[in-house]
Parts: sequence; structure tokens; C-alpha cells
Amino acid sequence: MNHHQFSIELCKTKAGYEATLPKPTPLNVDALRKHYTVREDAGIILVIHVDDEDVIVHQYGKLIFKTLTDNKKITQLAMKIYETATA
Amino acid sequence: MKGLLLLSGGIDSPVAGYRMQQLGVDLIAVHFSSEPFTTNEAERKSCVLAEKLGIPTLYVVLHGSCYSLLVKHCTHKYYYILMRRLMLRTAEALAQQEQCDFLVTGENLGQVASQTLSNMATITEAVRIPVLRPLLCNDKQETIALARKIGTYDLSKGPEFCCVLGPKHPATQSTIDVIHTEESSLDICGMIEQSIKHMKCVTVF
Repeated sequence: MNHHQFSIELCKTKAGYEATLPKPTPLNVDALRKHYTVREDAGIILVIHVDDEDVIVHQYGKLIFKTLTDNKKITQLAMKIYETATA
Repeated sequence: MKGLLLLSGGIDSPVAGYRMQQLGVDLIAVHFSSEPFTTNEAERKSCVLAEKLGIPTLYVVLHGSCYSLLVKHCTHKYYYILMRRLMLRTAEALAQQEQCDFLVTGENLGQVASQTLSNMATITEAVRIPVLRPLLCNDKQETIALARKIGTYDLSKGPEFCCVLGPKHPATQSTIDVIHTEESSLDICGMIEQSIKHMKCVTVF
């Protein structure tokens, strides 16, 4: 998978930014569990702590950034997470 | 008489509280936080709304880990029903502790999937304490107009994360037998006990 192929936009309620892959793609959540601090684990959804930020990860590829608004940092984190979860 | 208002931080629940206060009811409030699946924005709004309504005490129950368990162990389409039942049961335990006579919610019939007649009956079955719903038959515009009038609309509005744990196609109908079966895979009493044990009490003023 090309890790660069994701889009970033405000979520539908405009509360935060989300990164989405071109199509739903199963992520390796076990790899994410091993690699990052997991704040909460609902099986199909994780909340991981990456570089001082909470990121909500849907098992089919969507990432939601709870508080980040800096597009550059969002992009960096998204790339990092997708690399881990699709390796 | 004293009631426990379930305060979400949204538009409806503070209006429901106001309507009860108009009848001379004293209220305390509880907010169920979905952190870390959301930010603390809804909690912040609930504090501000409690102050606006003159409610002196707000309890904040950290329910995120409980909701995780619902997703992990139960059929996903029943998530909102199970979540609401858990909220009501936790609120009932708190109401007993605080000697409240009833619960108050801002639920409105038909507004969202959990608020069909079928689902509301299933949800209410979870508790024995009376659940009062002063906005049950309100038109949304009526509620918004009253929220503007009492000054809570501007405090409630603003973007919030939608429920990331919720299913794409939630069940709009349910039966008590099915929901009891779903709940049998969980330690509901244990979840309620832990929620009450770890809740925060915010003295609003």
C-alpha cells in the first residue's frame, strides 16, 4: 500500500481532523497495540497515544485526531501510524 | 422533590432540566464522559450548563472503558441501547446514593435510533427509578427556541465528536430478551460499581 495515499479533512461534525485511506483497508491493530501506548481498546477501535497526541484508530483505516489542528503534524502522524499498521 | 439530570452537554438535556426546575424540582446532575474516545469538550459544556441552570453539583462518570466492553462483547447494532441502559443504571445507583427521587433526561421520541418507542421501552426496563422525559414529544425547533430563551443554546452548540463507537446501522427495534442475552456476557454490576467508585464530583458553585 502507498502510505502517502490518504486524505485529511475535518470530520463530519467538524470537531476534529480525520485521515482516510482511498478505500476501507483492514489495519494491523495488533501491530499498533505492540508499537504504541494504548489508552483504550474497543477491539474494532483503539485510542493510541503517539508523540503526545491521542489518535482514534478505526480498524478499517480511519484515523481521528482529537486535538491536533496542524496539518503538517497530522500528516506526519498519519504516515507513521499507517506505516506501522500496514507493514 | 429532587431529581438527577443526565446532562450530556448537548442542546436537549439542559432544556429538560430547566423544565423540571420550573415545576419546583431541585436537581443535581451527572455527565457520562466517553473519554478517551472524545475530548473533554462535552464535560466542559456540562459544567458550564450546570452553572447556568443553578445546579450546584455535577458528577462526571468516566464511562469510556465501559463502552469499550460493550463494543467488544456485544452485537454492535445494539450498542446505543446497551449504552443507554448502562447510563440509566449507573445514574440510578448515583440517585440512590444522593437520595434523588427520579432521573431526568432530554430524550425525544424518534430523534435518534435509540429513541424509538421500542428502544425506549427496552432502555427504561433497565431501571426501577422513574425516568422523566419532559421533552419527549417536543419538536426539535421548540427545544432549540427554549434553549435560546433560557440562554443554554450558545453554551451547548459547537462541534463535538460524534460517537466513534456507534454502529453504522444501529437497531431501531429491540426486545428485552435479546438485550438481556447481550448483557449476560458482561459484568454489569461490576461496571456500575467501578463507575461510581471512580467518578468525579464537581462543585459548580
